[in-house]
Amino acid sequence: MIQQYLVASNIADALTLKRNNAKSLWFAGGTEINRLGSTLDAKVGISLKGLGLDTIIDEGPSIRIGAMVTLQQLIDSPLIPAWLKDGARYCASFTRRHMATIGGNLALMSDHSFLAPALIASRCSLVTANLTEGGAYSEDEVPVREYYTYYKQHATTLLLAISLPKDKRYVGSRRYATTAQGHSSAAVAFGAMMGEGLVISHVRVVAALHGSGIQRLTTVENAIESGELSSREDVQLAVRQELEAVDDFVGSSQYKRYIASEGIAQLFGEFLKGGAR
Amino acid sequence: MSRITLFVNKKKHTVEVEDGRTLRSVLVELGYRSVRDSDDGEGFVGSDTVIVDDIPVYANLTLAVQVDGCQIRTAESLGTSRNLNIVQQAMIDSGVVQSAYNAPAAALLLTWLLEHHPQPTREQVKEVLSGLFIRDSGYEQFYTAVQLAVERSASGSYQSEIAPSFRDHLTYVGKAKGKVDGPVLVSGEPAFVEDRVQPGYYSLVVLRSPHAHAYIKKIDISEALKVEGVETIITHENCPDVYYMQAGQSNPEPSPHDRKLLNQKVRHVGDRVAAIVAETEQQALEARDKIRVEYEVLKPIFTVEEAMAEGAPRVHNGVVEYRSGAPSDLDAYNKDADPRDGKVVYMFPLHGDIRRNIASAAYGKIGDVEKGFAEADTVIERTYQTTQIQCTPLEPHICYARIEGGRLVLNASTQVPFHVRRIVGWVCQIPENKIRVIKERVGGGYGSKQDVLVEDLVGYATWITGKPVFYRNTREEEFIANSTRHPMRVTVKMGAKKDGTITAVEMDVRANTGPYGNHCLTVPMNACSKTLPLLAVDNMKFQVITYYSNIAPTGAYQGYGAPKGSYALMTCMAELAKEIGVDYWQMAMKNKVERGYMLEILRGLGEGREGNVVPVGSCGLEESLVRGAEMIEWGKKVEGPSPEWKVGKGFAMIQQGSGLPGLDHGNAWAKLLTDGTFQIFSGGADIGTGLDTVTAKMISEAFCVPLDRVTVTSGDTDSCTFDTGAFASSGTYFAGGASYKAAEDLRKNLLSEAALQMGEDVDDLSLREPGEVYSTKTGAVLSYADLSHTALSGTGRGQVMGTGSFTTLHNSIPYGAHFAQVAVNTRTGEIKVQKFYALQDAGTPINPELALGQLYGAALKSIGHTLYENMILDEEGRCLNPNFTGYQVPMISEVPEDFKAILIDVNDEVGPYGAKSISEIATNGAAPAIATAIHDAVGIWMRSWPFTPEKILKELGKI
Repeated sequence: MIQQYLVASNIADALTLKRNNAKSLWFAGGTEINRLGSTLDAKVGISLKGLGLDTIIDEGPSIRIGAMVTLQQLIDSPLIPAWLKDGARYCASFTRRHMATIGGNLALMSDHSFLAPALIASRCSLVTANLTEGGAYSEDEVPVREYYTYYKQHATTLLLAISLPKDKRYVGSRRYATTAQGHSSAAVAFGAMMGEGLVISHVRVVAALHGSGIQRLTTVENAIESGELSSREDVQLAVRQELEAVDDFVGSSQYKRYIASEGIAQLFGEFLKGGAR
Repeated sequence: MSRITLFVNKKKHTVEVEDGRTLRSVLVELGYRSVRDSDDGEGFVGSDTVIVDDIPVYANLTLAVQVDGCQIRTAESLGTSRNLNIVQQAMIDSGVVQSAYNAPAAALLLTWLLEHHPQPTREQVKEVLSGLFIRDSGYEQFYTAVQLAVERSASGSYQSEIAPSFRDHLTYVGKAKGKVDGPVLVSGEPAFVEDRVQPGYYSLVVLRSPHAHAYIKKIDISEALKVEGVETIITHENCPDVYYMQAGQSNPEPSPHDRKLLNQKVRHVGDRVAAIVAETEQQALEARDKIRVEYEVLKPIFTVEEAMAEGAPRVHNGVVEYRSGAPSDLDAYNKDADPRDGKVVYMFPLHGDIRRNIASAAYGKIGDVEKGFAEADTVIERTYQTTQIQCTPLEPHICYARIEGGRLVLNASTQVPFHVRRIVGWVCQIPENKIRVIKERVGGGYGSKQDVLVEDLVGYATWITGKPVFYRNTREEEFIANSTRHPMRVTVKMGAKKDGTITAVEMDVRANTGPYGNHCLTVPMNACSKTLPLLAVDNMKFQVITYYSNIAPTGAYQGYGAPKGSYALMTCMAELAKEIGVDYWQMAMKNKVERGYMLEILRGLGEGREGNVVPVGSCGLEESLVRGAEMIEWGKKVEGPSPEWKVGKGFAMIQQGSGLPGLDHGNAWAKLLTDGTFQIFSGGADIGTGLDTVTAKMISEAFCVPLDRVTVTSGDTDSCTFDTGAFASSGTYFAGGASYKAAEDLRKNLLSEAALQMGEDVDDLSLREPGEVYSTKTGAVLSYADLSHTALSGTGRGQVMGTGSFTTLHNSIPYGAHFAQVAVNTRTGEIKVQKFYALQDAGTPINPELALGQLYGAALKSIGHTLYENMILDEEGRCLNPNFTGYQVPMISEVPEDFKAILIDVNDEVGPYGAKSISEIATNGAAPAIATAIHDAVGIWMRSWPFTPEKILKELGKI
């Protein structure tokens, strides 16, 4: 539970506050930190409000989405692609969507993140800020796959923005929950590009299964790119075999594997048909 | 600590706050009490919604320091109860303001919506309400509310119909006139228990058992008592040696007295171990942490099957006593009793056998079922399972008690104020005249507040300490230490001839009552008593056995056992229809009861005694079936939107009761005030359903005066007369019936007084607007004010009053049929309820707009039970999902795409102005209607609720 709330005057100040306060967390919308049963535990919250991180900018080849942009802003913005709006809508509460931010949701990197699977599948990059050991301010652009792989090491990194490339890429996601606002048993995403001669490249297959975190299925990705997996059924079977799942109150491991594989297979099928991009 | 400035409803507040404090707690401290809490900061229910800098947020998920310098709007900005804004008024008029715990939040959101979108689409309304959990009235009428507000904003008046109107010859009854307590509720003004708590109160917290089944070997409270501010700690060692049960039922109760305030044996995770009273909650919590308990852990049992097994652990193994009807071998029976288990005291025999974990049992039959099965061409036997369901009232169980003038006064959120008084008096061993129970507005009960779950402990703590004590369940405690729906296993054997005539039915109900026997007879009995009488079948037999176990407690829940019995009986009938090749709807039409059919089956379905055999009275069953079939186009196949989506249709016949004939009792009294206005005192407990409005209408109709000239006082044990309480669908029928009689008595007495004062014959006098006595013979007129003044001027005959007492042996059964059209995805197991039509005969709906709201609310609740909701325990008995996100309740996203509630117009011969009950029955249709629709869609029979996608996929052979 937060005992101290620090307001940063600028991004460098935010990084300094983080460095100087043990057990501190970046404080974005607050929907996770303040929530009953939150898995986050911090005594100090460092507010990112007022740092100019709440805008969506068309930068030509990419869209830059500030980390403090709320899920509702994503839905309301004409610059945001449909697949990301779909992800924002998985947060079924209008009120909560006005509070939760894209940065906070991605940084959760947990099985109940609404956006992480789709963002990982999108091959977006993340604009981050950090302080060097000597205290010098630096910014970096990190591929989302790297952030996903090493997100625990990124605990002191401040996520400034998400940069979405405007390339011709399919991204789709599905979320399976008994009710719109209940825990999802599985949330899945698929991203890929179709090149000349129907060559499939840059495949991303991501699944968030309740109790098992977010999984990127690189074996399946490679098999799709190599043409080893070419049909919906092949993909479904491969995903089902590769996924790790546990039995819990949300569903059996068998069900979670099935439904996640079904979802990814559906998305793969859509991709093959040239579905929504 | 930080010093922050908040601009709340344009008023500047500068306050010092701890950085971790939520915005809600600060707002409440500043006096903005409309910002309520239903989920302990889960960010789910939305009772804590406020607008910050023109953006809706949850105040419980927002730190006060986060909004330093911001503009904040709460519901207090909208309007007061005497000056409502257009949205607040439209909400009342449309019928959505019922228990209303988060009605202020809804009003705030909809006002905000209309400010941004003066002509919002249905989708925009749905979106803005998506973060608000409405359990009482469903969501459908919110669209009407918005439409009304839009119309009134544009033209100054409503154009749309609010609700259908009934009985043209009546002015108030059968007309949408608004809820009399609606203005206070929608504006967020003080109305609930928490609003009555005065500074200086003591906090009570409960130490709960981590084990499902254990003896307390040792409990050490010495360190806890040393914590500053601790007033007392109550344990099994120092609590009264009084056995009772928490079900608020008729006395003597058809439930065993099988508990004390705190017991040496804990019987579920969450059972009471100690109660700590301290000056502050923090002190009480600190003391709780210092209590040391040593347990002897026992093997728990969780299912009916485990409870039935040979050699199963005994949940209760104490001494059994009977207040009457003790068996001759009782001494021998008690030889094995363990004194640590305490006692089980039966008021009268319920066929219990605690050594076999049987809390109660009942048996009965008509005709000869074996002969009936022999006559059948086809006989099937099917078993259906239901799971444990939580009531989830938005206002948790709560109580505030203090000593006033040497008496114990409790402000309670209860359905049964008079049973609270009796049970608290019994626990404290003080007479009823020393206790006053004031039922406040109830922020949702749904049965769980029929049980005296917190008032017993708070009342006792107050009585022994003399301190004012406040207690409120956390949301987790609502799940683990509250009344829930009994899980049941219902086996139905049914036989029929080839033409669809049912020749025999046998029901075997095995219910799981959990640790204590609250309603252990009545709830499971309802699985039979509210379903079998739907069928005109000569041969019927039932067996109901209820078992103790170590699951979280069960008890009353809207519908009692009827939703489970209905699910089993109707689905089995559909299975049999399929088996013999007869259309299910035709089979229902062929076997349903109709007016005049003698309900012999009721003889064996009394609650602990022989029931009354009566004929079917007013009955809208056939019309419900016929109109419903037309609406849903029964028999017409519908294609899904894509090949994997299959569409099917289903329905169920339903019934309930209107209170309990021969058991329930309503009383009321009324008086004419000196200015010609009226006050009526009803024992009935309005739990948000509109009972106070029913009561007021009894006076308005009788005396031709508008509702604002009638004041209702209800549920106060000091000023009101006894009423059995708001359960078993008795409110309108019994409490309303008593109010009707009180109004009639007052009318008779007023006319008598008028005849005397006017020098006329009573027979020549009539009452008319705007509140006067008129002589049809002479044309003389006497206003009520003048009449009352003269009667009380020192020479008159005193205050004009009337009393009413309502009892009956008549069974005014409400009937109906619910129809569903579902789409089932054969690849994912998802189910979409595309259409849900709830058609019900409520007699004369006295408040038609509120009746519709109750119908929508109950139907949506039962859709939730059918498809989503389930309390899940681990192998140790711990609830794994004691919160809304994990438990999964239906919200606006889950509302059927086409959702209609239809009131079938049937006038009852006994109920007040022809009224019968409305809401409980509406929980009985969804499970069988959806189960049969799923079968129609994909050919599988769902025999275990909830029908989750995982279960669908299993039945389809996908996993």
